[in-house]
Amino acid sequence: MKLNYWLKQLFLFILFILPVIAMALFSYRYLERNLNEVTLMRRTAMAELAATFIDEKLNHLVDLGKALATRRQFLRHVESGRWDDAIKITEHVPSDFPFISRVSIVDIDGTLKASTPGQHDLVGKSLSNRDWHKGVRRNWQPYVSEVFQAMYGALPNVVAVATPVKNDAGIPVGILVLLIKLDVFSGWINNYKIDGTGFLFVVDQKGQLVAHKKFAPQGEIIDFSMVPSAQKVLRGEEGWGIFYNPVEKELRLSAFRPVPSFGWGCVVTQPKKDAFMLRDKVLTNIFIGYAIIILFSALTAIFILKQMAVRRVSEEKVRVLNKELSYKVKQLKDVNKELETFAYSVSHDLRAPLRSIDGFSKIILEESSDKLDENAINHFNRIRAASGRMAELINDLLLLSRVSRNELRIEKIDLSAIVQKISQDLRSRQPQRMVEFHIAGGIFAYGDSVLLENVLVNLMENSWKFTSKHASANIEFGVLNEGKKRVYFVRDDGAGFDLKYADKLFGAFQRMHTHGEFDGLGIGLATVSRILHRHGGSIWADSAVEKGAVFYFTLGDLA
Amino acid sequence: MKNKNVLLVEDNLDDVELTLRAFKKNNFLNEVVVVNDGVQALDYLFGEGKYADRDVLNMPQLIILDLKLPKLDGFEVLKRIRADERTKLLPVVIMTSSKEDRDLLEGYENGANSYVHKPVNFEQFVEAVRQLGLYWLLLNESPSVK
Repeated sequence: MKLNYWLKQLFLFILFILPVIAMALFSYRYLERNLNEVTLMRRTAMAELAATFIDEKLNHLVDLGKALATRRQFLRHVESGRWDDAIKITEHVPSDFPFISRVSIVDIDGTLKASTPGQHDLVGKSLSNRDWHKGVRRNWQPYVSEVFQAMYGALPNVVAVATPVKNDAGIPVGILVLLIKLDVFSGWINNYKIDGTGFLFVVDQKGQLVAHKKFAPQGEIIDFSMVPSAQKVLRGEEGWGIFYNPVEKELRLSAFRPVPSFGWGCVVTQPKKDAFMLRDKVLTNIFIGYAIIILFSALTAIFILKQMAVRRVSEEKVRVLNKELSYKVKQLKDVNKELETFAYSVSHDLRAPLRSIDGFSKIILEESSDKLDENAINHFNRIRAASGRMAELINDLLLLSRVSRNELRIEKIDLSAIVQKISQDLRSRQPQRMVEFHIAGGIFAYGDSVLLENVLVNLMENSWKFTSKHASANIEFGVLNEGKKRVYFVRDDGAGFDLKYADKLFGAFQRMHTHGEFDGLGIGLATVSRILHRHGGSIWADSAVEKGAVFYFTLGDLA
Repeated sequence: MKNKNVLLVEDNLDDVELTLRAFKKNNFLNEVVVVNDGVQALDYLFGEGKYADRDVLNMPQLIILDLKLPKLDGFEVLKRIRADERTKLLPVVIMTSSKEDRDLLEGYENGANSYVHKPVNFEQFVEAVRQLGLYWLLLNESPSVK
């Protein structure tokens, strides 16, 4: 059972969390992909830019060669074999073009004929095995050579731009060779910086380094042909890749682009972890962010589940309370039933003996009055009076209990009419009394007609009773509109009572006057009070000895 | 006054005494047959038990019935009276101490002709009997029994 419950809870929890996790995963992947793309695109773009730049620069050199090789005078001299004169014309070139370190003229067989500046040891020697010679001879077109070590002076690392010198007929008569020191290329690539550890390097058609941040241009000529990115670029491929660089001995991200017309290649490279550092930083932050969100969702899910559990517990509590309540209600109903039965037997069983007491007392008085003296007659009369009172007491008790038990039957009641009827009834009981009734007409109210009639009978009878000692009396019924509340009243100018005892007035069995002064029971006002309270109203009195009394009462809004 | 008799079904001997006196006071000369419980009432009406010799054709003019009776209670007696062809039309007046509404209702629902509350005060009691007698024994026309 418990396992089942926890399994369900777990299931709900997962159900809640799953969408959040899925969303987080999805957007993380998406971001990762985008960031990757951005990183790669930057580098491939840079490689492209570099390749274009190198291409331009090399073309520029080729154009320069062409321009020099086609000068009329120069051409005449070369054609005629006047090598020294030809070289004289080109003497200004190294100083005019600082990136050209040497100008040489070679015949079509590759023999060095002249060179500037200064002396060249190899003049007269054959340079036909040089890459630049082979390259130019292929199609007699300008050619940019691979990197090699020149045989003059300090034996620098250079690249040769060889331009064929052709006569007017288009027949090659010599070769103009411009030597460019690698330092020039190194100078160019220094402009390319990528995020600290990234850099650009250039390889020649053989895979040798033309320029590389880490290698001095005039140091050893480095063969990069084993480097995967160089291999790719030499095959004419362009793009990017993550390679293990055996020379640098680490994983690198390289974007590569060939310089097509010259067979060279540009590679933008960076240690992989550096290249993706920014991406990784962003992703880490995102990850943390999502982790927080997921954590928060998880907590929310747990909270909600807990609330549901709490709700379930309180619903259970409510159920239990309801059960208890209905049990108590049943108990109450049973008690009420008992009370009803009790009231019933009271009404039946107590009255019968009373009737006997009264009846036989009367019979004795009627039939044996001649045998009785004044005292005996008096005593029997008292017996009768007492039994009469007891009967009324029983009635009132029954009424009091009934008031508490029954439901009110609410309807519109004409209070004035009821009071009128009561006044007529009173008058008929003792027609000799001089009492004037002042009954305000048209007073309606909402309530239980039987019970309210009881109230008015009680109050009117009280007034009737307590004015009985006066020769003439006035009894009044009306209503006051005190603001929103309607206050009904019954007023008389009879004996009144001392307000000092007012708080006892509405207690059952309390009396304001001794038994002898006024006939009457103390239960009436208690019943009246109870009835009015059940109607949501209240009752209070005002009086002074011999100044009459007023009973005010209100009813609740039962309309 | 015609000599029609009245069947009084009452268990309280004091009440019997008072009722008889009330009849006398009012000069009702009818014979009042008194039975003290429900079984005896039915025995009388149907000529059974100790009333086996009674002439059942001579039904009472009026039945005054109390409610709280030993053996068989008032409502039961009433039901039996109304259930039998011979007695179903007889006038039955319930006279009881109870003022309870439901006794009133049940009385009428079971076919009582009238419901009178027994007052405690003797004068009022005598007056009630007088009114009863005047109406049911003099003014009212009872159906003849076949």
